[in-house]
Amino acid sequence: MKTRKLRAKILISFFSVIAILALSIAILGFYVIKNDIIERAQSKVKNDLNSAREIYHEESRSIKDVVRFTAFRFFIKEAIRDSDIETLQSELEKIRKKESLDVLSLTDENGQVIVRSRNPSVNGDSQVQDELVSRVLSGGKIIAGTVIVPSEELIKEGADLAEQAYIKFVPVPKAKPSQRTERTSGMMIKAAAPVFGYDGSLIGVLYGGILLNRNYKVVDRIKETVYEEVEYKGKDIGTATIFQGDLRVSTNVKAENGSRAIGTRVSEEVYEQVLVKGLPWIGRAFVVTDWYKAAYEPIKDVDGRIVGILYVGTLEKPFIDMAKNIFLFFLAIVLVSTLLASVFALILAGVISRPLTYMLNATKKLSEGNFGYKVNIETGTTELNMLAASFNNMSSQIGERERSLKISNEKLAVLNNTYLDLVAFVSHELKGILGSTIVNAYSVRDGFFGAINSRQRKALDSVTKNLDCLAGTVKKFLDLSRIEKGELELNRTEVCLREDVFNSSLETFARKTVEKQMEIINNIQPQIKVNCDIDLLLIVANNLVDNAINYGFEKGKVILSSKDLGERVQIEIYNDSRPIGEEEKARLFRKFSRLDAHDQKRTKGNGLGLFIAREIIAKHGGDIWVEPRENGNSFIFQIEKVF
Amino acid sequence: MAKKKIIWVEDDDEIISAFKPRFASQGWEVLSTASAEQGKALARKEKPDLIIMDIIMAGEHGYAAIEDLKSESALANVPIIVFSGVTHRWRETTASRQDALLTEACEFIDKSEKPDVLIGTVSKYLQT
Repeated sequence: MKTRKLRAKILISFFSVIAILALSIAILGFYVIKNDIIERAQSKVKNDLNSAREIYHEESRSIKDVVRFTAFRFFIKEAIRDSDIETLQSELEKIRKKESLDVLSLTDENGQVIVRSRNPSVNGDSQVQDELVSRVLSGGKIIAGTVIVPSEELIKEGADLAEQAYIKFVPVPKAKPSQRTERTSGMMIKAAAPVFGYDGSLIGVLYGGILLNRNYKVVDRIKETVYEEVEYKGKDIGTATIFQGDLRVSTNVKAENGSRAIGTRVSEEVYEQVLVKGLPWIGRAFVVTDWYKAAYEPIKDVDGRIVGILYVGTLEKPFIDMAKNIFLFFLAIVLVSTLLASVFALILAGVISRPLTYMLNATKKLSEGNFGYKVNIETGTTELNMLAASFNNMSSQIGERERSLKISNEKLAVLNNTYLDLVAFVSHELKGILGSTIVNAYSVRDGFFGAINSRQRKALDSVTKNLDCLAGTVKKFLDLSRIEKGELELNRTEVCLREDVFNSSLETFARKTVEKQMEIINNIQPQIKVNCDIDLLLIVANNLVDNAINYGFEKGKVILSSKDLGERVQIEIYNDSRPIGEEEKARLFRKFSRLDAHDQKRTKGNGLGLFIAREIIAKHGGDIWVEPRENGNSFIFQIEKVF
Repeated sequence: MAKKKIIWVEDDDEIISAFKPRFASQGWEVLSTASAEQGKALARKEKPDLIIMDIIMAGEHGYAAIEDLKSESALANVPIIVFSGVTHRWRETTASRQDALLTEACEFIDKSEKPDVLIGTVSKYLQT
């Protein structure tokens, strides 16, 4: 597993939490702000469209009023009665100009034009085909609305009007494809009112109106009223447009060159929704040069036919910028709080990790031997204080233990020295004494100091045998003491196991084998050589051979054999004897353990030989064990050759 | 045949007196001394056939004496048998004992061994 510093871990955890939180808040904030502002923009543009419609209708009503009140005027009735064309013309022209109408004309009771105030030279034609005029003629009631006026009718009302209405299409990529490239008809808000004689009979129809093409009065009033002419970065924040069909005929949307963008057409999408389906369209629209929050709705004529579109739009940029600004402000808050949280995390990580670092240093000091080293227990954190206190407690206890250990060790060293002295004493003095005693006993037994009788000889046989046993025990005790002192250092030389070790060992015990009439077979391969400590291996061999003879049957066999295992050598010492039981096997190699000799005559031993052998073999990187055979036992050991 | 001459450096005269009849019965002449220094002087003078050396004695110890004797050309070929209570390794002398072991003439016999072991070993060296 990858390991990190505690401080880094704490910081990473903190930062992860902070980052996730900040990111979530930021994303949430962004959407909330965006949706809220867009919704507000949407509902605002809806309201704006309502206001625009009201203004449009207001214009229609005002024209209606002008026409209605003019139709009531006495001078009209009288002039018609008197066929006073001149008066009609001059009076109507005065009114037309005063009320800023484009057209104000009068027909007779059959719809034949009596006078056109704007264009007096053209008259006598019939206007019964006109929607409004025919309705007034048949119904006798005033009427107003939006109408499409063909070019030839416009020419009659005034050639300049036809010219004003003429609009050449400006190509727009998203507009519905069209074969036409221009529009000659015009869109008018028009009102028509009956003129009654004094007798109450219909004597004529007065109609008047304004041409909307290139007439910016309505759209500019919408802009003034709804958007109060506010500008955003040099651009009008709000715009309004009147479409004749899908063609922009009156607008305050500016083209790139700054002129009003008439002649452009609405997108196909809006065309389908508004002009075909007759439904309002509200949404985001790219109008000429900028993105707008836009609302479109159909304009219908008096018969309910869709003849055009009324549009209002609010520049999207202020809303976007507002959202952006709020979001940035929001982001700044998140960043500042992240920064603050990070600072706190850093401080906290420091608070936690610093005492641990001190503790780490303290344990280092401790391991370097500076026992009893203390750390500051005022960390400012309860748990860490407790940790520090318990560390100090441990440290002082270790210090205490170290001191008492030192004292014990010094005492032990003194004791060990005494022990070593004792061993030196035993090895030299005891053996010296034993040596001269043995020599003297043997010399007496062997008649060097005069003849002895057979009873004395028998007694001395026993004495010498016991002395030999005593000497053997002393030797083994010394071997044991060397092992226990850890003094067993290997002094490796190249050794032939058969020649240097087992032959010499067999020689040592040759007399005993003769006494027991045993057959000794040495099958150890002479070519087997081992790098080992010959003195120690001799101890092993002597112990095993001695055991094999001591515990073997009289007239039995002792067979020595070897196996070359490559890296190791195996030696097996077999004797004919009572097979060793399972439970005996385990304790055989323990200190002071002796073979059960219940069915044999008591064999003298000290229970050290196998223990010493096992220690020496282990020191040579080997193993030793016993394997009971059908009629005997095999003691087997393996050691590493080491070359 | 002249009597074989043995110098025995041993500070325990009980051992020497116990062995003397056995050595005499073998027809060997034993010259004994109780210190390494005297042993060396005696050896230079007497040119013995064999030297038996104890290790732990008052004054110089046996290993040092063996090293000195082996370095003298006149005595380098005289077999030396170590007969001592110290048969396990003695820390300070491990290296010199190893050297001694490498010299074929040197044998180590424990003082607590049966007397036949020493007699047998000595006679082995005197025959060759």
